[in-house]
Amino acid sequence: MFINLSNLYKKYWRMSAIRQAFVLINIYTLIFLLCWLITNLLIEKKIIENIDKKLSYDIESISLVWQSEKKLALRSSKDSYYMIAPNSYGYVGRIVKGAIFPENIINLKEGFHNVELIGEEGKRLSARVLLSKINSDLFVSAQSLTTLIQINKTINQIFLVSFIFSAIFITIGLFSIARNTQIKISNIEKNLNYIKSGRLKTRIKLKGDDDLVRVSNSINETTQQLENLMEQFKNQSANLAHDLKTPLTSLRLNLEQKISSNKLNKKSIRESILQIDHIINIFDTIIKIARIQSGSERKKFKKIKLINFGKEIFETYGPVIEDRGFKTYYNSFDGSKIKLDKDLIFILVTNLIQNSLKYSKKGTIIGINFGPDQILIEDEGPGIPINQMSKVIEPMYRLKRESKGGGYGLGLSMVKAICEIHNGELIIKNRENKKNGLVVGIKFRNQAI
Amino acid sequence: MKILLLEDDGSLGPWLKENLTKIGNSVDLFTDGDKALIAGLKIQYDIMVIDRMVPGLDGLEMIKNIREKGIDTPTIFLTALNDIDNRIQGFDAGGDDYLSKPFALEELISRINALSKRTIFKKNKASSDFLRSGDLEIDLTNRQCFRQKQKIELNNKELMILEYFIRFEGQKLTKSMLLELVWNINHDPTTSIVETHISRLRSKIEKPFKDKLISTIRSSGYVYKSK
Repeated sequence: MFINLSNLYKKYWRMSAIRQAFVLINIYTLIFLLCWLITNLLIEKKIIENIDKKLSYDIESISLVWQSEKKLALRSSKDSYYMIAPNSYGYVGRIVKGAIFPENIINLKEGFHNVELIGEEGKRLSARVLLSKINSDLFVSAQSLTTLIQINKTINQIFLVSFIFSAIFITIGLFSIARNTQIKISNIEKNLNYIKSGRLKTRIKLKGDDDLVRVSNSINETTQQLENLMEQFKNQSANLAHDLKTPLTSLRLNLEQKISSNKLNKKSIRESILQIDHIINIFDTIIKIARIQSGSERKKFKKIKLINFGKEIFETYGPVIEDRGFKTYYNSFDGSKIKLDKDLIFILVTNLIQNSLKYSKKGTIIGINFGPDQILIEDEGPGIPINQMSKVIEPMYRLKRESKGGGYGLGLSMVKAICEIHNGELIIKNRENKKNGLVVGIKFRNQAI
Repeated sequence: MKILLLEDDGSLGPWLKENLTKIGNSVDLFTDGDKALIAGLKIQYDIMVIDRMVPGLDGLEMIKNIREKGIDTPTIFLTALNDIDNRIQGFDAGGDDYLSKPFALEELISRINALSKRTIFKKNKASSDFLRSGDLEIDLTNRQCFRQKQKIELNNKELMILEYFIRFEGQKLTKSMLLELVWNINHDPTTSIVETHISRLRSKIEKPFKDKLISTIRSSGYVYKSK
């Protein structure tokens, strides 16, 4: 039984929402009790102060009249009692208006005291008493504390009722909130365990708009991203295996043929080396993309003006484009400094220019635009079909026309990775209001990277 | 040249030694870092070719130790670790060049030759703002080029290419070396940047004078020789 209770306690104590509710209720109870106590003390203090004032005033009155007229000026009433001792009237032991002073009262010291008077039916009656000795006379004035006790009782009743009701409501409220929160937390935990075990399609479904729902949404987005990456990874691996098999098979066949026909000469070996270099190049590109995506290249970011960098790029690529039989232009727009990695942006521009050179007809124009916050390469090539726009940036995806020869579908993936590490937007669109042409580039957004 | 070669790969090490020896070098091959360090400290080498990941003391630590003893023998790191951090680590440790695996033997030989020469012109760089090679002259301060006293208009990149050709006269400069020296690019952009700019440079410094200063070595590099 004890073990069961202990286990139950441990189980609930581990639930942070329930634990918080429990702690909050305890804190509430403590604060409530403290308020109760302080209120009682303050009210009692104030009433006693007032009674003491009245008693002092009464003593003053009866002593003055006694000294001049030798008679008791004030009459005892239901709550107030007076006595002068020793005197011929001898009030000690006499019942006056339902109460008598105890016999030992004359032995008390001067000042205020709380004493118990004896009522008519022997009932004890709490009272505040002031004793004052003037000449040889002892003046006693008493005030019943029944009202104070009544007030105390009422306050206690009010507090008790408030405490019981508020405690019930707060406990129910807090535990229901805590239970809801705990259900959400348990839901998140359960789903995270599913995700951990590899079920990446799992999504956390929570209702409402609190922080736990926001956390769940973030987890869902992260899982979606993870699922996409895994999907991409699977596709990439399959594509990679497929795409590497092709040049490797051709290399193997080539070497086999040369050996069987005894034509294994310098030229054929050089051709084979070129094919191997091609394969190495694919690996290098894949590694480079992975490295960019991992963010390890972010250390080299520097603030530069695009307009200055563009001039350098055009100085390098302008002649290359012209020598390949195209026309070119360079547009620059001044703007503020942009934080970027020059090497990566160089790779980005290289990839985009390579694509334009590959797919555009000779004699057409390839434009290089730099600034104020974007880099765009514009060509008059065939563009990209609208339905394939989002697919061309997936690794190893190739348009039909590409599969005839050339690319490995890694260029735009690399461009996309470079855009992402720069927190930039990859712009890829067919030229508006033009028959042919594509505009591709990066638009730098938030520079807080 | 006397070369210290640190390479633990059982086939690559001896193959490199054989090929570097064939072209007239004397090569000491080591397969672990501790032994290579002892040799590097005792023997005066002209070049050290170091693989980074080897048994014992790794290549990076070995070079750090050598540099701490004040030995500044030009060093090429030869390694499969090719990301930017590894390159920076290599240069920080005291390496002068970095060649990633797999590589072409021709590329390594060109880099060994260039490195031995580069250390010479590094030392004399302060006084070499004006370069002369045969009938070619370059004023690096004013970015001007003259041949046979005639001014030739070269753009910035063409002038840089010519500067390196003159500094490495008679030695082969590979495409990747030119990309590193002129454009500061450590990867192959697979476009004809180098070819295009050299072709344009040729049309300016050779064509009007009807002779040849730059020879192309097929799929390997370029050699400049003055007239």
